Amino acid sequence: MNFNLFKSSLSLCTIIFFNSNCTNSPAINDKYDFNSVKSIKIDKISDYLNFPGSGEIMEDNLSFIFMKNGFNVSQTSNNSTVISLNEQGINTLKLSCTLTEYTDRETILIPYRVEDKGSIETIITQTTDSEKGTTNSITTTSTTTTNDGGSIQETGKLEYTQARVGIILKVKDEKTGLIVWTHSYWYSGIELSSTAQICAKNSVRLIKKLFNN
Amino acid sequence: MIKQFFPLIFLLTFFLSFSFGQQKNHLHRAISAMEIGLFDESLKQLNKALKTDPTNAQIYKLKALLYEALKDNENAIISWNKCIKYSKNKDMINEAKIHLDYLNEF
Repeated sequence: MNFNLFKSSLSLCTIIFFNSNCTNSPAINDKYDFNSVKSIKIDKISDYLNFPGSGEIMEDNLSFIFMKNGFNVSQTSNNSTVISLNEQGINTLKLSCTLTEYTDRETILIPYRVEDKGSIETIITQTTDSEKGTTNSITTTSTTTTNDGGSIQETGKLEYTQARVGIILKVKDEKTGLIVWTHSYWYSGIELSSTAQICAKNSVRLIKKLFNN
Repeated sequence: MIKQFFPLIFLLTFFLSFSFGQQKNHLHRAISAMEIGLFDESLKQLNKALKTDPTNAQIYKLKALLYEALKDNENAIISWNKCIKYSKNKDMINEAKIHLDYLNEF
């Protein structure tokens, strides 16, 4: 293996490690000339565990978003997707994607409070006594009021499920195998399909930035 | 001696409020509505639940997700910011920031 290639791969891996732990931004090999890229081939994406078809959905999402961003997208005879960038370019990049999460069954708990605002109970008792030979009568009224101040307690949790899609993207030079860009990203949402699409959208947005400079 | 005894007992009980468990009910309704796709109704119930518990970060998070599903990015941003304000959970704050990054970009 070429020593320089090994050295640059090692430094890129170090960048990836620090980036994945500290920030959410992608790792880029600044020395690579992105203007010389002719096209990007999208590798077949493997399905996420226990979710058949998830790989194909993500592939389709990526193609769709690339097209929406104005790129020419074509499919070769062996069903791989190619994004055309620059006809004068000489290099081809390979984009591989690994699904780290693909679920619509992530359980989220919401704590709730049971609030007893209290109550007021009033009992009125009235009795009337009248004696023989008198016209007067004595009426006695008593009132008892009970105030309950109430209480606030945190007593339980309710659960709902949300979707979450996570991906690791890797772009490498097809000829040399040099990794030039990599990024990990995840997104959560209520619906799985839109969450997967946002994941792809954000990835394409970041890849697009490489070729705008 | 005519003794008249009129025991008049008036029992008046005023329960000023029967709010016991109201928040739970609103949350239950909100989740049920969300599960069948009635996002607007779910948001109404969450707003009622927030009246009882206005600092519940999880409710703001769910509100934000519903606004995103309804493509109402402006309100989603407001709800994520409130989620950050009231949350003490690092993961939830991180999740809110990821959503805000995306929403502010598009």
